[in-house]
Amino acid sequence: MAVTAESLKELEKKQAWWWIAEKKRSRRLDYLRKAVWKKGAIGGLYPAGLIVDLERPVLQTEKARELESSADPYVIKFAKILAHVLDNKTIFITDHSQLVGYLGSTPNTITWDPSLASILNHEVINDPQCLPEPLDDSLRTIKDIVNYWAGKSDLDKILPYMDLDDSMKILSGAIGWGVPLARGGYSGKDYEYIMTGKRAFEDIIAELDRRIDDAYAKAHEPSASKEISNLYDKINNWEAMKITLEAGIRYAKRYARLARIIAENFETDPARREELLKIARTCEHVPAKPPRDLQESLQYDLFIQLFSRNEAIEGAWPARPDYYHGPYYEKDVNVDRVLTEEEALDLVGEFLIRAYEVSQYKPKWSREGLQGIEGTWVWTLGGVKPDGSDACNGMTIALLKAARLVRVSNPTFAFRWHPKVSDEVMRECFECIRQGLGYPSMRNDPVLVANAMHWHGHPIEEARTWVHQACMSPAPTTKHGFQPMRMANATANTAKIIEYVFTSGYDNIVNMQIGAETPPVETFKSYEEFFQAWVTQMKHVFSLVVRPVNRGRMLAPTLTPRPFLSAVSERSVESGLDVNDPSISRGNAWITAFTWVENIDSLAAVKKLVFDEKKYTLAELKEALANNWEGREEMRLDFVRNAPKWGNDDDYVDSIMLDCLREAAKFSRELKCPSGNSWPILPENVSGNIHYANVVGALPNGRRLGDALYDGGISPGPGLDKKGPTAVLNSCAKIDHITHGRAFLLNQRLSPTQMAGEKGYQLCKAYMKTWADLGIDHVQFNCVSDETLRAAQRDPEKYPELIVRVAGYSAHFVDISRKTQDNIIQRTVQGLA
Amino acid sequence: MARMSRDEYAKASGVFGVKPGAGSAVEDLDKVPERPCGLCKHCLEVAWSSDGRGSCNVLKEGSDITCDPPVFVLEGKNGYMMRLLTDASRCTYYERNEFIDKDGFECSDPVFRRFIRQLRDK
Repeated sequence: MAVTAESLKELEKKQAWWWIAEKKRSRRLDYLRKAVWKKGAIGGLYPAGLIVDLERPVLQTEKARELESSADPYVIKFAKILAHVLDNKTIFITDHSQLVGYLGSTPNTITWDPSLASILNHEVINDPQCLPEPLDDSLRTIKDIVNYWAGKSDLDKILPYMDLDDSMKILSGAIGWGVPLARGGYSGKDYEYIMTGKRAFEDIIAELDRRIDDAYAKAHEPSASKEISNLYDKINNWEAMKITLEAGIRYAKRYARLARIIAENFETDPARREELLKIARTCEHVPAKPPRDLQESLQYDLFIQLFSRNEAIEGAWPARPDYYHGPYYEKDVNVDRVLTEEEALDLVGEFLIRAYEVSQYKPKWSREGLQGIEGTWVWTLGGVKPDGSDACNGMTIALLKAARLVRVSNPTFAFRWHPKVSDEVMRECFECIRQGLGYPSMRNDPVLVANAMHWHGHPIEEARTWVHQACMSPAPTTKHGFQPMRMANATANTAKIIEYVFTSGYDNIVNMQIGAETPPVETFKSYEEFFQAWVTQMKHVFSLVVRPVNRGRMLAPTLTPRPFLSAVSERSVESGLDVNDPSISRGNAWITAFTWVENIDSLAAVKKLVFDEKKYTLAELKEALANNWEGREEMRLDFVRNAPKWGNDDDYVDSIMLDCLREAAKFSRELKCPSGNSWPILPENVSGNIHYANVVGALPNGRRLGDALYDGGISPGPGLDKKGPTAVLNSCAKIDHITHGRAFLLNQRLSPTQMAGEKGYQLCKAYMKTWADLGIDHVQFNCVSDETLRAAQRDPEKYPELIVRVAGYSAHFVDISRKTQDNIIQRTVQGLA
Repeated sequence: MARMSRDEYAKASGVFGVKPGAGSAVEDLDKVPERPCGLCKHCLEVAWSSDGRGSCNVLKEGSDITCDPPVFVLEGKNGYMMRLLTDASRCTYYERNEFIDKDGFECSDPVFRRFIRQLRDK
């Protein structure tokens, strides 16, 4: 069909945004978008056609075996193994691409790092779907690898030093989400050090050489002290850093060579030949030297991200691409005019696609909790510069436009809104939301800058550099402020708090005593006593998820070092300490509180129906919950219908939310990370509300075992917000978004019909003004009609590119489980007036 | 409760369930017994991972169904940790589950789901 204004209008009327994107994007982007392999798990399993890449684990294992008899300390052995992988892995260049580098040996592979956790290695052996054929050969190779790393993986090394009781509770899968490993979580980057164009790998290598020489000289002076003893460890760390940087440069030069070979020997199209030569020149230059143009800047960034993911499994991608690539965009497009806007869009769109294809084999809890995506690649746009002025630039707009053209579900964007953002940029954000991407999520920058200063003491100039460490939590990109690892382990399934009040901490789903042994619930005489039991359970659960992370973080520098991440971090290059050493970090920890709002609605139901109206006793309720409400449907409906629900601007229940948050905030100050900073909570869910649906028992809000949990961090239960969008905002605004917690996720659904045209933009703008004035820190939107979503459920093959906002991330609708799909449809569509 | 040594605790709890000596040898991971725990209705696959661990809804910590004669502990706090491929031929509490489907993601209740390749066609 020819692309005409009429045909586009017709498609727009049908909200068929994915077809519009296909018609509008360049031939290059169209090819690259269609050629990329989707890596996010469908429900909990990897999509058909993907295979586990055995090349990397074979390389890792052969080098590890070779180094067994080496006199090198572990950190240097580790760096040499990483270098061996980068030096020998298969490389390829996708047709039409201008950016190169991938984790696996072919585009359809999922990479597997067997040195991380034996538990994960066994998941690979057990994988029902994506082991390469012939299966017997693969299994032979896999078993050899698994046998080698048994007892040697990071988790095997860490566990003997952990509290086994805590570990057992975490591994039950009932309350925690993740492992306390420094090479498995969310790694921030010191972008102020590495991405400002002031230095690149060769500069850092020169700096490391100077430091090694100085330390070596000092260590051999006629003297002895603790400082001199420490120098030996520092020298090892510096040498390991250098090994990884040199390997990175060699890896890029392999690509340069490959591109040049193809260009000079095989490519017949002169235009493509020139592109390949440009790739060669780019990879000869970066990451060795600082980038000179947009392509080099994007390639440099991509290399850093890939090296870091060769070193660790990274579940997030903290980034601020408009801020760091913006100067190169401006120079190429507006100053030197060596790129047209369309050519720049090709590069920016491909950058999104290259990120979308990154894949690392992850455990089931991660695949289920992040259905449809590989990890929370939430890139931060907008915001302010350290001096407080608007940071938006041409690259901000290019990224928002490119997102609508390539429509990948990962990365997504989060936009740092502030009062100085131009109308032009806001319209671009709105257009992404209106076109159903579910992103950018909107973040209230002034509130979150203040929040970063309040909780972690980041100086204002550093707080203003913040990026999303994962879905939601801000972290600076500065020397002492950036967070090298946020271990997902500090994620609590908080619906268990209220459940454990009724079971005295015994978990009937996984058959373990996990919570605190509070008195039998039927003995409580007042709501205050009942609430105090909730506080006790809250403290117990939060401590349980935090303790292993603190311990893991303290053990990390010695047992599970990260020489590459250290090498691109000013504090490690300067100090010679591993990047995870708490003594050189300010600390930016937070507890992700999954399934939080169930507590509020449950406490309100107990307060009203048991203590105020005395319709039921706690003993009756305990029995009903133990029996999953069986035989008590009338009673259950009473708890659903006649108890107040969060999100309706009702002080009765809203005040309970505040009580809970105040107690949690108070306790957050008592919980300390190894850097001595606080552990504030951050209510949000990703798709944990579905993952945990099966392990949270019946609750007093009327929920049964297996029912989907609420979707947001402070979103009302689906369909339970009966009083409109203003009431939702008013409830949320009662929370102090600076002092009550680190951030609060709010999902809202808007009507696509209402969002159409200029009127739609003005409505959205008015809504955003109210949201900002009320000081709420976050909101994100789904803007896809029930009709479209139900049609996609009926005929998924017709809607492969339909994107929805799940929680802290977006996903293709057809890649999430039926239960998650239903949960999204159930969310109230807010009519804006 | 008396404190156990770390080693005793690790063995009893299965926290190191995948390490040699404490769990199945890798070579055995494709040997599916006639009556594996993973097909029993009392088996709860650990929700956290699909490395092949589970806990029993009937037997408690201290049980051992692999020795002869087997040890059945029915009282206690924590469930008996086993592996999905543990041979349950000596377990008198074994009841084979009737699976409603084998689709690892449509059937999302872990009680009824077996995520591992070795049980895919059983």
